[in-house]
Amino acid sequence: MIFTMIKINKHIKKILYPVISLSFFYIIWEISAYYIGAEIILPKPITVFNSLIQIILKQDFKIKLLSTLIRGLWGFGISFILGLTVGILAGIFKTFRMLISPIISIVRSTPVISVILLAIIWFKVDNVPIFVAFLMAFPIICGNIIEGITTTNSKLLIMAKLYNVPLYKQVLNIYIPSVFPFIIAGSSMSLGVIWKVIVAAEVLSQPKFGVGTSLNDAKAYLITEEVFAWTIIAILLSIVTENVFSLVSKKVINGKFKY
Amino acid sequence: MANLNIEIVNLNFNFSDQRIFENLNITFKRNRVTAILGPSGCGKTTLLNLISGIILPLSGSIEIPENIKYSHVFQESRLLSWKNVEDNIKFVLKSLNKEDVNFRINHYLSEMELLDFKKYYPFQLSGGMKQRVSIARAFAYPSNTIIMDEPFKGLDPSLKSSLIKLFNKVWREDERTAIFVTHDINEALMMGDDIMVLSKSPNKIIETITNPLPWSERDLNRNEIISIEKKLYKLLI
Repeated sequence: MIFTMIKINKHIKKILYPVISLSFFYIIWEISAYYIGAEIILPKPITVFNSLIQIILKQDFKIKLLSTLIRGLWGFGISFILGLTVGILAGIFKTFRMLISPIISIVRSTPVISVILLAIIWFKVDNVPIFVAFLMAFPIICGNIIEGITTTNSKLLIMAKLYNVPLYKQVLNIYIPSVFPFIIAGSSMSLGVIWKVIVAAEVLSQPKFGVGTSLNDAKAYLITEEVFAWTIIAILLSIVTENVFSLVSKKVINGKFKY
Repeated sequence: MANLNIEIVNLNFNFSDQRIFENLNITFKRNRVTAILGPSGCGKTTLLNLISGIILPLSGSIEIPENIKYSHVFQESRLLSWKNVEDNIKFVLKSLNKEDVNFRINHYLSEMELLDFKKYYPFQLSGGMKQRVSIARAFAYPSNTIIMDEPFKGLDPSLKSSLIKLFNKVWREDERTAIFVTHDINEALMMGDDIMVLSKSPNKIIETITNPLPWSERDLNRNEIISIEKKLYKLLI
């Protein structure tokens, strides 16, 4: 019996463990809500679930979600392209790396709230979350690529140099494949960060549509179950995009970079 | 007629403050395999790096023929793990037309008995096979000089012996100047047309021996080879 239990199929484990942990979380939430007894402070899970369904069924849900999604994708896209370009240049050329490193360190250490407040002063409300997402994601992607390039196997580079392989061929055939895992890791990490900062920036900058805007409205009217519901939507957005990215990157790796 | 040998003339080289080579003079004869034999730390790899121009001497000169083109075999195979055998060789072949590239790849892979493994990735090959790919790559590259830095290090004796035989076979069909460093007397005896013994402290050539046997007759049990082997042992101890 015990032996059979140990041999539980790996796939079942993949589903079973999250179900156990989420059930535990649900029970704690249910008990806490029951003892507090004030839904304005902690609504019951069922109330939040009902609110979530109502939000999703509303006509403007799609535009609110899409607005946030588009901002996130813009922020990620700009960070990815610039992070890749600057990262590759800084990784290959030491002087450029030394010039860019202090700027990346400053951006990385700047508090998100300062960036949001400055962006509110500088940009249109719709662009604030994009700018903030860029400033948060760019150093992650760029830093990861620099790390990938500087840790590229120097023996392979010496081999290529001795065989007079041109630099562009070295970049395409040694640097990029070596850096690829770092690009994936950096992008995945930045996607995790982006949705948090986008929602925070939307809360403060109040664009017309957005998950953050709706979150702030719910807070303003003390509709706590809606605050919870929009938070769940933001979490789902993050999980879905990260999974889509992970699937796409796995396909690219399988197709082009066989290790 | 232009000198087609590689000549090292009065070369001095320091590493940090330590003098590695002082007034070193060596001639590597064209289209011969020169084995540089010496103990660890005598500067064998440094000498190869100086010849290929990775590092520069403090003074002195390395006189090389005008049209010299090197290919290399390293201690490790140095293959790109994300490329298959064929693409690994293709990676170093530039300025050649497609047909020539394909011919060279097929020819040298077949010489190295690896033609069936053309589409294999390095992780699917054994250590000896990877090193054979590395040798095939060196031959496929249109060089006139091959530089080899202990290419059989870490391989078991029978594998080493079969690789040496393969190398010699391909070599004799496509003669190029070869400079080959090793600390293994048997490797030097089996491969070297000329064997130079490099000593440690001071790092200098203390003996140059010409192999009395052509490659096809070289056998570690032959008297001529045994007598040189004894001499080399004495020099290295």
